[in-house]
Amino acid sequence: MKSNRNPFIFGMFILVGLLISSCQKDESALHDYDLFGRLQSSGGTWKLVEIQTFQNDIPNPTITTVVPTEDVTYHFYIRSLEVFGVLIDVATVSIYTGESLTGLFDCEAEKERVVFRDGQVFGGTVYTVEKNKMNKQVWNYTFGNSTTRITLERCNCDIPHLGTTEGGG
Amino acid sequence: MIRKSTSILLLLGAWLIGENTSLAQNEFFVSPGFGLSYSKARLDKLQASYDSYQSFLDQNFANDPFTADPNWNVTNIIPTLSLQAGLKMDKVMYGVAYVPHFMKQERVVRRESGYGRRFSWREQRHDILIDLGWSGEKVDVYGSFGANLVNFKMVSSLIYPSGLESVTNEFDFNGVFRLFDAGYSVGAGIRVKPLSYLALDLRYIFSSDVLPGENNSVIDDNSALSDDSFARTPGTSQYPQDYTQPLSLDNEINPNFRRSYVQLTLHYFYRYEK
Repeated sequence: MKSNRNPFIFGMFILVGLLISSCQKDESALHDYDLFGRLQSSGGTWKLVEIQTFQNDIPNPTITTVVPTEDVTYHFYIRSLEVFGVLIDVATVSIYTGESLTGLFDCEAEKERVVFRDGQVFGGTVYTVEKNKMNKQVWNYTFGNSTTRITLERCNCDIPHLGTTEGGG
Repeated sequence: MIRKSTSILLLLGAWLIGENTSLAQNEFFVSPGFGLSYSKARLDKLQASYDSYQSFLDQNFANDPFTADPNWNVTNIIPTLSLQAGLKMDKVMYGVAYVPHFMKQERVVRRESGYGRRFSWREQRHDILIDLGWSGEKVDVYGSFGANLVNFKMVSSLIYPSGLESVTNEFDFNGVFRLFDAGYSVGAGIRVKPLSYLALDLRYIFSSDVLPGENNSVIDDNSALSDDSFARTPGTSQYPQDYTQPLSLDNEINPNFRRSYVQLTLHYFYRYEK
């Protein structure tokens, strides 16, 4: 049987599909920072829309819900740092409350867990990922019998412009 | 890493086939397929760890009885994909096959107090094989050899009475433990081609946990199922082989998770004769 169609076009479609499937997939020392790519995509800005707190050591706990009165924006991005003369890329999150920068952390983001690390060698604030959607994230922070659940929604917000003063000429 | 390796191997295979198709009266084929696999794995270390966790509960929470899911499944039937490309020259065929298998299973141990633990085990196995064999008009018979690249992941989470599940660093048993391992793969298969564009492929694959010569290497393979997050308490990064023993870098699971398959797939057969 003879075909006039070029099989390489078919093969190349498959190969290109496989290559494209690697887009936005990060690889790191953890082998698999598989959530960070999603967090930093499309500008990487997320708005804190809800905070819930509840007691985790009882069934059916009462949940207290608070909606932030001020805009809280999480910005996920890759930051370049110079360490001993070598530039390294660090997955980073900056947190803005209103127009102020209120937090800057190294970020390990996996599908099950997100860690905000404030320069510690060991430790950091660890969230368990409860819901991982393209435009919505729900994370839980647990300490003792108390759990705080935060809900973030992708906002494509402008990153607040921090006022600076130039002191040189 | 796996994605890049797979892409490079497929590109290399496509290039080799492309080079050869210009040589003679050949039949080139590209063949995506889907089907079912019956597989059997060696998970003895994982099972021993699970048993030791229950012993740990017996010893430390004697007044809080628990119920535990049964042992880890070592056999399973899973849907499977396959992508093959190759060349047939007279009665000889050779090709490249990419055969991924994704498996996941969970076990839950729940105490009467409402606390518990969930173990979620994921295995992403990528077999990349070179097929070589005899090819007839309606039937191909071939042998395979190649390599497997495998990502393992164990998520160990604490279940609270509220139903919440947590992998935070508050407890050292919590974590996301990962491991990448590679090994050689061998197999054989028979492909029946009742129609020019359709094939039924029955393939056996033995997906080993070691690479050739790895057991005789002078360098120890110290890879283990571990959680490399900076948030962990130092010295607790290894997934414990024995929960009744202190967590340490020695109390770890080194991979020996080999797996074998019998796989039946239906293939769309795209042929091109030159």
